[in-house]
Amino acid sequence: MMDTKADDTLADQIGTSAEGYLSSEETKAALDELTEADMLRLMAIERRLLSGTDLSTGDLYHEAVVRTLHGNRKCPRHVPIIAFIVETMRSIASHTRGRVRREMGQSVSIDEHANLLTGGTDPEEILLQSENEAAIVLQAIEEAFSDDEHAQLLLMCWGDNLHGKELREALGLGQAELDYLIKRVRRKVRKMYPTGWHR
Amino acid sequence: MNDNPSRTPHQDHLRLIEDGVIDDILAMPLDELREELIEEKQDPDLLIKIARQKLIESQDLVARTSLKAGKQRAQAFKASSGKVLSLDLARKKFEEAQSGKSDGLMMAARKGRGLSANDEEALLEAMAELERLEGQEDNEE
Repeated sequence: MMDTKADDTLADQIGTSAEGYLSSEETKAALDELTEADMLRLMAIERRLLSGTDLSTGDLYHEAVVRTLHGNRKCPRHVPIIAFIVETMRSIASHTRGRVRREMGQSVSIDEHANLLTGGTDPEEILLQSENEAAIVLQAIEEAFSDDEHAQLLLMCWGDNLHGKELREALGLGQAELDYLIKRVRRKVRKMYPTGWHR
Repeated sequence: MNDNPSRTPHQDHLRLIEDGVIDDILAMPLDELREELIEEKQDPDLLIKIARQKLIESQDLVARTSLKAGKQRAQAFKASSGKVLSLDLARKKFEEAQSGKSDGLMMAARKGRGLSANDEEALLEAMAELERLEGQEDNEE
């Protein structure tokens, strides 16, 4: 399983792309080595990403594996294959959501607490609607931590893209305390939105 | 921070939170993940089964696609080789006809007494075939 520090996100790891990619044989071998635990983690993550798409359980994972095996998307050598599949699933899910929105012409309820928002197929309208949806979700998350000052501050710092030392300094916490806080916030958010917040 | 112009600040903020949630799923103890999924009315063993099946399907699909692409390349190469051979053959036939070495030429022509009507016909046919093949080659380029 990948070694992930609390404030070193998956996107960060993939973003620091180095030279060299896995060959098709190496990619196949890496996928063959996925354990049951890896598969369960991937399926749990897929569950969060399926919302807002017209895909079913297993489809996103299948598509990501096919594209990786085909070489449409190449896995950098320094990135664990499981992390690469996750990012590929996110990318496919994001594009699929965009397509579904355009096809539907859009009339989407945000969640049971929100008003019904109606948009069109115009890219600007869709962007505005996405922003409104994101704002509503963020507000709900912030409200869930209304009695937790550190958690609120952490969410704000993440919004300002603070990580590592900057984050510790901004929150005035040691690494162990920060790790615990991050874990607490992530888990609460996950329980609030077990299938993701995309609509 | 926002490296995707189609994403807005709030979406970007949510994506950062989502990064963390996903990292947490990747790092959490397996027993805990199983328990959470069961709480969410999911069957972990079924999810693993689906994942394993999808992996096999993906590998089969990619293998079939690669095989099909390989066959198409082989057929294209074969067709291309066949054309070259035909062109070479026609050129050879033409050169032989022109030089009088062709078995198809009349004895009189081979003995240097000029081309018979049949020799001329063979020569014209070879030239026509050569032109046709060369024209085909040019069009394909």
